[in-house]
Amino acid sequence: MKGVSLVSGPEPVMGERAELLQSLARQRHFLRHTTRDLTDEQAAQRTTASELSLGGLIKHVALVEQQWMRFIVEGPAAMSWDEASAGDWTAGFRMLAGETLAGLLEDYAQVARQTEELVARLPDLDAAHPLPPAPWFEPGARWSARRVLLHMIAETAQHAGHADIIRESLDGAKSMG
Amino acid sequence: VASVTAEWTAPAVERADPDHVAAERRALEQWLDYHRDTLLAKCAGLTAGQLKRRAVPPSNLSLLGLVRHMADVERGWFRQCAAGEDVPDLYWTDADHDADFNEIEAADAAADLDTYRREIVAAREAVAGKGLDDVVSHPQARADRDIRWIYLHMIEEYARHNGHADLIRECIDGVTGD
Repeated sequence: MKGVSLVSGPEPVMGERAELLQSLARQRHFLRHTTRDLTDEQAAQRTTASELSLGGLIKHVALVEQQWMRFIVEGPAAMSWDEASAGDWTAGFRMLAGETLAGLLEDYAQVARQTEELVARLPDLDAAHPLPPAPWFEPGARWSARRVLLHMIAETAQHAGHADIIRESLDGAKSMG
Repeated sequence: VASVTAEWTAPAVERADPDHVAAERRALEQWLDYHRDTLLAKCAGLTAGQLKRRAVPPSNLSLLGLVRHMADVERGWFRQCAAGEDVPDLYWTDADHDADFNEIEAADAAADLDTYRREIVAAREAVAGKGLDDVVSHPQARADRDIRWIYLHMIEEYARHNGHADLIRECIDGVTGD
């Protein structure tokens, strides 16, 4: 079996909450790692058929994590969607004039700190809120904090996968294996 | 009547949305299944030749390579590690630790997809009787792990590789989607 070098860490049993946070932290690290040694110009560059750039991905994932964490506390008002904000959504995937990779990484680190504080204080991972009305959400659905965290881990990991490919297309640098 | 033999393509998959509110074990099982099915959905409708394409150079990754890789990852964590079964690796060899990705030209795509599906069934059985706090160790691992960690690690592993699959599929035929 290969890949066991990934396997290191202090305690085998940390409990659900600590292990969810550790899992999310691991994936944030992988995503951040794809931007190592890049200039702002490289971070804003498209390198594949996809519209995505590395800086844009960092910005998007930070925003999404922040929104979902607010949802855990405040419910649907944290993520209200309307036609007017649809333009913001697209801009959330792109580095805009004046934005730097260092600044986006710092914002992302700040979001991560807030998430860890928030999850540590949560009374119950089963607590659920209704989702806001949006074209991509099933009407009437409620999500628990546990579901939000599992979603966020997978969302971050999937974008880290996009970032692996975008980085390798940019300058040949490999992030895995 | 002329008969035309249609070329084999990877079958469609029914992917279930995980419950919105579920207890921990059920949530982990459902999310893992969701990401397993996402990988199959990324393959659905493609020919063997398309599945073998290294579509985003210089990356060595192909959709079939990802399926083969995940079959061995499933086996490694669930059967070899969690259940302690003495079963060999499927594709990895001592000579080539990346044979899952490297040896695809001569591979039988349909057979590899069947192997992958069977491995998932075996993986579920391997941990069916274990609790999330049960601790297991792997001979090569540097630390013991609980079953919860294995589930989370597998969800992470799938989601990241499905990110690779997203961009590979987009390059093959323009299809995108979660």
